[in-house]
Amino acid sequence: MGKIILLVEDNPDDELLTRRALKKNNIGNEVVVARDGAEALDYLFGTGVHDGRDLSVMPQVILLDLKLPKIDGLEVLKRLRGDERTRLLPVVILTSSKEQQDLVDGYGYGANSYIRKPVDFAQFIEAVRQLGLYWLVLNETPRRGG
Amino acid sequence: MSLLRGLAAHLRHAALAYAVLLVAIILTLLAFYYVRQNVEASARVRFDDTVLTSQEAIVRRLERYVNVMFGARGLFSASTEVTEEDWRGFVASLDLENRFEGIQMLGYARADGPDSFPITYAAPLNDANGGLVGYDAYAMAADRAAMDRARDGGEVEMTGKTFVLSEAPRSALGDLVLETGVVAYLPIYRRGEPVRTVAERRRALEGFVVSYLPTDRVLAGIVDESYDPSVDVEVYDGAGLTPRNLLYDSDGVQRASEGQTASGSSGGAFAEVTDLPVGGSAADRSARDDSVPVDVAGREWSLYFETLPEFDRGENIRLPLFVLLSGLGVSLLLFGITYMLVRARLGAEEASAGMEEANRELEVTNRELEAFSYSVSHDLRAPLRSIDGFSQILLEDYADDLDEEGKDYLGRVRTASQRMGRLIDDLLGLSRVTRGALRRERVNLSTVAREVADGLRESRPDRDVEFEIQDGIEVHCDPRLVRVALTNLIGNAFKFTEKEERARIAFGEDLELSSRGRVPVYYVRDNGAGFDMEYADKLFGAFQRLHGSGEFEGTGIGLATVQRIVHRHGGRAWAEGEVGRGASFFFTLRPGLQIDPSHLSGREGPERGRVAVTATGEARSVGREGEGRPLRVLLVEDSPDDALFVLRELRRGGYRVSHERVETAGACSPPSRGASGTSSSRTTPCRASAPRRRSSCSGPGTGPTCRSSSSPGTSGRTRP
Repeated sequence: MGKIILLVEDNPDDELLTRRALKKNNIGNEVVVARDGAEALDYLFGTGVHDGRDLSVMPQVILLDLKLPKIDGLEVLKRLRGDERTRLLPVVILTSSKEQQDLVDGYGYGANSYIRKPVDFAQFIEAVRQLGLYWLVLNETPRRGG
Repeated sequence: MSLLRGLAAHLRHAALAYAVLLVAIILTLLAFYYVRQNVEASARVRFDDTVLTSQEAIVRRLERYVNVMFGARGLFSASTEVTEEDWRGFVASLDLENRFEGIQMLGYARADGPDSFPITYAAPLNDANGGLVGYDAYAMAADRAAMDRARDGGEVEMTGKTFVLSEAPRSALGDLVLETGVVAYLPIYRRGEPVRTVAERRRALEGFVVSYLPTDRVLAGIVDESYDPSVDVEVYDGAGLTPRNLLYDSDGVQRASEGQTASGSSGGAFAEVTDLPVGGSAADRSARDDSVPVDVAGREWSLYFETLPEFDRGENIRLPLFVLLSGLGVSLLLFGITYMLVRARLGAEEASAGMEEANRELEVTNRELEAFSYSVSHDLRAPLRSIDGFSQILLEDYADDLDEEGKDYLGRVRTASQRMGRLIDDLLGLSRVTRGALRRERVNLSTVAREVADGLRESRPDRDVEFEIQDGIEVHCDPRLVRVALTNLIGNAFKFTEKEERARIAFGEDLELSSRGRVPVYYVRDNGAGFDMEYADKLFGAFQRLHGSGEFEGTGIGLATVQRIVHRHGGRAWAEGEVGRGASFFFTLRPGLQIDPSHLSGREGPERGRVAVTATGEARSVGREGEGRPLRVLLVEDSPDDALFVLRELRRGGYRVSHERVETAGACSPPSRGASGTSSSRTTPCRASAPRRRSSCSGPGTGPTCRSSSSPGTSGRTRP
């Protein structure tokens, strides 16, 4: 079982580009995509469409867009951090926003990293490469319950 | 209806003012009333005094004159025989002229039978009196009545108004005149005869002492001595105030109205007296005159007094009016002031209400703007990412299916989308500069500039740029905004010195300008591409660029951002430059005096330089093939992409491009008209700086023989 990446992204283009960037960087991890905040929470807590999911399998890293339908990214983050099961999951905010307030809020709610999606695809690939390297290879996450 | 409502609103607003007016007017009226009462009372007292004094004087004078007659009767009692000489001596001893001025004649009328009393003696002897001897007055009814009363009563009795012959004043033409006057009679009874009853008196009557009294002269004496000249005194015989009865008038103008009687005069006329100066009427009269009928020697006289205009000059008769008018003036003034104060307060309240409204609207607008910026930041960028990303994917994955032109186009798509990304960022930056409060604190500009310079140096290690940053420049300003401004200015200088071998960028304070502007003036100076002063005013507008996008990259928002930051600090920003010689950007962070850059530089300013737009896309496209007259088109376009796009469309439309040159250069003169077939000649040398496309095609009719210096295969192609 490889390490799962949860990509919370409503824009199919961005999803495709992210997948491609991962592929370009030889990151072959399974990517689970949630199209909105509610779906992401469903996946993480085994509710709704993901009812009955094995909750022992948690993503290695969550790539979280901020501007999402239904429940926005910051709200998702807040709920993750408020739940014992997902409290320690690494969350990387991956967003277009460069607003200072978003950055402050993101870190304030407990995001582990904040990456701004550049328009330049080459830069984007580079960002994803570093992201993958850090969160999927270098970073050690604490064992749950431990 | 609306008028009424308007009036009601006006009254509501100005209620205070009207209240003030009302109170002030009431106070004024009270003051007026009080002052008028006082003035009136004092005038009345004066008038009453005058009346009393005059009355007493008249009575006393007449008594004295009458007493003289008793003296004369005494003469008859004392001697058995009174001769004419005795009589004259007696009268002369009285010294009438000095002591009893006005007595015209003192005479003795001896009874010549019961019905005849001719004047026997008349003294003093003069022309008027001389003729009187022998004159029997008893024949005259008026005289007879007086004589009868005197005979029966034993007292002095006077006739009513009559005329007395007297000597004319020296100034008069004639010798004798008839003067208004009265005649007084005192009976003389024979010595030793009883006079207790009327019958006894009639029996004992021997004659009369007669006194001729011209009233004008008799009374003039008193009036002159004892009397206030501003009050007119008229003396009437009897109770009727008619000209017929008038005995004496101190001013010669009869003022008492006919028919008025001493007993029936109206009270309260005095009130009218105080009105005299206002009405100016001479008809006003005093009531007190009529209440003083006096009994003089058996006759009732009426004394009529009236104030003359002069009387009121002595009183502060104008004081009440003055009080009234000035009080009303002050009232109106108070009303005006209060009204203006009320209006000012209402205005201020309205203005503050309007301001609050405006503030609320501004807050809403600000919130909307925030939301808008946020949305722009998020949503506008996402499609760009797709455009750029998928273009890249096409280039990578489908490279074999694309020819060079296709790849070039995709490359342009990517460049454009990335550029738009930068535009969005810069626009957001610009809008962010405007939002939020300005927080001033002590900032070391030298340190900030050095940090910016270090950042730039790190970003381009390949470049050799010399920074000269003046030390110790401290200023009170918003640190975040000023850092943005300096980043833009120094970044600009860094960018436009890219083509210099030895780039120099300086930051500091211009002391000369500082002293002229009375405010510190900072500068960022470079030796880069510079600009034409003719367009200096366009530098700071958003999206204004003086350089083609192909020559120097940038969005044209940086300087607009700088200006906005400077303006928020109350300062100014301006620039000086010359093409190819570098540029200087100046700014202040506090309000100061206006500095005209052209004066300071000592140069001519806007007239200098020629180069306007340094990147000129120029394409010559001439006529459809086969047509007689070629159509010449000059295309001036700074965006290479757009120029390419237009050329492409022209070719599609069947036009043959005979001459195409895309230059990143300044104002090149167009090729001369007859220069077909050859490359255009230039009269102004253009700076050949990194041309993207440069191709020259032959003119019409010479066939498609275009050469291109770059991107072979993409230019110069013609379609049949």
